[in-house]
Amino acid sequence: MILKLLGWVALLVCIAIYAPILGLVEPLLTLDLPLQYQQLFALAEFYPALLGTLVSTLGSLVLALALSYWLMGALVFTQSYHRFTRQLPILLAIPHLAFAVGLYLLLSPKGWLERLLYPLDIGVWVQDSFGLSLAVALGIKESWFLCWMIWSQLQRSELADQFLVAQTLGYKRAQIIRTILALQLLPKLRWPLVAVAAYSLSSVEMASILGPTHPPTLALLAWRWLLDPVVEQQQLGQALSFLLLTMLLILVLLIWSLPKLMGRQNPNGDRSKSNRVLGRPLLWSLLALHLVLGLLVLLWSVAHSWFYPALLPGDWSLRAWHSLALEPLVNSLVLGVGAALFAMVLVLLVLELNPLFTAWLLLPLFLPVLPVVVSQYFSLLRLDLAPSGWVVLVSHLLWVVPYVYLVLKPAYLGLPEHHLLCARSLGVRPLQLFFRLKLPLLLRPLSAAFALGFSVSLAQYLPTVFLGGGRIETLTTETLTRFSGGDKRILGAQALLLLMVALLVFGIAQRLPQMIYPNRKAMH
Amino acid sequence: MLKSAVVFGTLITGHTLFAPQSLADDWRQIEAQARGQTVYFNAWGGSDVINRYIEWAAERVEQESGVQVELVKITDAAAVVTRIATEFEAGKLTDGSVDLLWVNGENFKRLKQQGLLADAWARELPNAANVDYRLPVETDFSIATDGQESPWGGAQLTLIYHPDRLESPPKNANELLQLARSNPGTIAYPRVPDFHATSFLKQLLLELSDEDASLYEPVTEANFERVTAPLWDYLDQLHPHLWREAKAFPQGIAQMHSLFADGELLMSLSFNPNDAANLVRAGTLPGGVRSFGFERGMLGNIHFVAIPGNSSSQAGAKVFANFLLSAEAQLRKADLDVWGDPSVLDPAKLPEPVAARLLDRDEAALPLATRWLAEPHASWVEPLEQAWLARYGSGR
Repeated sequence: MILKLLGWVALLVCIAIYAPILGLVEPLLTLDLPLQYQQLFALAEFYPALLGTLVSTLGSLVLALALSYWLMGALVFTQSYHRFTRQLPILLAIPHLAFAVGLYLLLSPKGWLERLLYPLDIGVWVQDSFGLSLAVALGIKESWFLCWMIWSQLQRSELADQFLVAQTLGYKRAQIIRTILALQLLPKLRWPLVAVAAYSLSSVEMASILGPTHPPTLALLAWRWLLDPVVEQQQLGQALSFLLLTMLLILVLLIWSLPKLMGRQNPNGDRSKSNRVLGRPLLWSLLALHLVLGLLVLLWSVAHSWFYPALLPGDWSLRAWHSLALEPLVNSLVLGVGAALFAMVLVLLVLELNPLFTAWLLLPLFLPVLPVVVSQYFSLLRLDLAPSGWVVLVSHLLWVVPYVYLVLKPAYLGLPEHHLLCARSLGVRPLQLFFRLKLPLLLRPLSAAFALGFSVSLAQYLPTVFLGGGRIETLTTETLTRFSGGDKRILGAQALLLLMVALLVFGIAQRLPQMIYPNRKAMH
Repeated sequence: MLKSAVVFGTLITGHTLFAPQSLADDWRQIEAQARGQTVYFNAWGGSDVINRYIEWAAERVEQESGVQVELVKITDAAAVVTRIATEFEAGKLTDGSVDLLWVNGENFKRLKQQGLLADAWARELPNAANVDYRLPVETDFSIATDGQESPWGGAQLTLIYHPDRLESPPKNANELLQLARSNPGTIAYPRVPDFHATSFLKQLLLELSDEDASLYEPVTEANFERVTAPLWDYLDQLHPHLWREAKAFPQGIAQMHSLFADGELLMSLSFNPNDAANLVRAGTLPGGVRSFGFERGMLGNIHFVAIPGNSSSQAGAKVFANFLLSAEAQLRKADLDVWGDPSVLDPAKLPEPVAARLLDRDEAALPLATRWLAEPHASWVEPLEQAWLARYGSGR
């Protein structure tokens, strides 16, 4: 009874958290959109910015999809497959921002790669005007997410069996990927692809570090205009963020028709000779890239002066570390732990109330962040609330809840029915059942949900800045502030701290089941 | 010593202003109100040295006057102006989210014109008596401050070079163009609407228009066309020789410093005459760099602090603004090991040792003798940026 009641409360809280999404249609009512678009399309900045946005978004989608197919296809059922998929969540836990900072230090003009190639005098750079470097960065980062999605599909569908059968029939990996995996996986990857597209389309953090600058991407333009004191500019920003929403809709249509566009390719009986997919070299080079980025961030954080063309810092100093403030760290931890725990309670209660008809909780994953944050901000103003840590926490929940739900729902539905039935027939009351049986059984997904929820909250930039009125500094906002400050040493230290916090919390969450039930192997 | 300087200054105030007694009483009242208030000071937070300085000042003022100052690090003051305006629109006339804002120019103009600022208060501060009123501290980009913002520091556009790599720095815009022609790809300026980029445009505009008088009046369409024509002409010639042929621009001076330090650029840019000296100490720039200005002089302005009208901690904000103007705070601010931001105090009004320290300049800094070119009227900024974006914003 009390669980049902709490479930209803949780449902109402979720609806309140999600309500600002309705504000997305507001520009339709309050703005003269045709007029705004006329102005927008007349701007010299618009078309190159559109090009940069399209290249980075489509490029990242294609690259992420290609990399994840390639990796998973090459590794599935090999010896490394199990190890790779177990380590995947670590790669997922690396914050986008820390990854971007690492790439910036590697590829910026006179950056480390240019120093490495010094005798050749080759200019390599990020922030190219087409958004290619942004596309590559997003593509690599998102490919881990798609790998993870493919892995969970292979876990639960008959595709894995088909793969085995094709292999015993003598087909080679490259053929199997092309003819069996590619087409059948695609429909199952639609929603993850939409999430990738939504993120790439409106990423402000990655784009301001790696994206084109002259002009920047549409999301950055919209963001700049939205913050402009001139009302006309703000309206232009609103119109542009509405355009981003429209562009996402077009991308959704594109993703839906992708299986048709690709055309069917059946196994034709030919067995190709070559079995070389080069999966392992690809994996190793990607891992090596991550390692180099991590080292670069570390080196910059302890350098004093480090000028071109030196490959290593000239002298060392811990000044950058001394200059880091404690407050962003504490805020990030409090917000992350708070948001993750709160979201877990909400999701569990809602699932307990009724596990069906809850798919709408995933909605925020498929919406571009910028317009949603603007809408959250207007809701805040209407409620006459002052920016505060609580407001920021609630705004984070809009993205933390769906991810926690994503992890918990299948686990909740997969609870062993016979155990529950058994307990019920022995007269265990619902409340006891929930605490004594369901929660312990859900321990592993719960700790995974916690880790994911924490890292999602940790990564939030736009909601933190908009709804915290700039007052709530987190590791993420501080890293971008440091980026604008331009001191690469402090930037390095800040990014490394962000990375360490993300990985540490993740590591603890992963080991939590072992720590709680050291003598129950099946619970790990 | 410092204490006595402050007391001395206060004494002068007491004697020169017409209602000394009531003014001192008023100030005592403000100090009493301020005790226990929390002041949210919104300031650009990208620089570590500045943040540390503000935190020091916050600690000092808490000890001295019981005012708690919370630094809110912002990336863009324009966004804060927007927030304040939105608060007023939403009817939030007290308890605003900003109590004190680091501001000047365009953003001040907007705040003032829309009536978002607290009424005249800057001259009431006891320490305002020591300010150097020969500096443009009562107009901000040709707009009268009317006491709605209190000066905090001075700034002058400064070019930075390394004598080993550039023997004789350009003396004017034309020599800069020649330099870019003979060393393609080594000269840059940040992308408009970056603050430093716009300032650089104004510097060029002042020189190329021969300091046209209409630049100091509100902009009109006809004037704009006429006065800016030589600027566009100049930029059309300059751009093909810039860094990456002006198809990309550095994102801000931070990136310019880094490109300059790594030898990709011949010159960097700053709005702080002491910046080069600061950056060498921090290890950001290599030793031996020097600063210079054009013959005609360099664009200079004052930066201020202002109190939004909907702040509920106005007394606390005034007490903090007053502390920022104290000889102690201004000297520390000018110290290269701390921040290196030029003071706004008049050395003649201060005792000898303090005055001497204020007149001291590092060899890497901009020579003190560089002439000040006053900022054009604030209304020029917006059309100037829009015109630049329309011409060059597409990057093609």
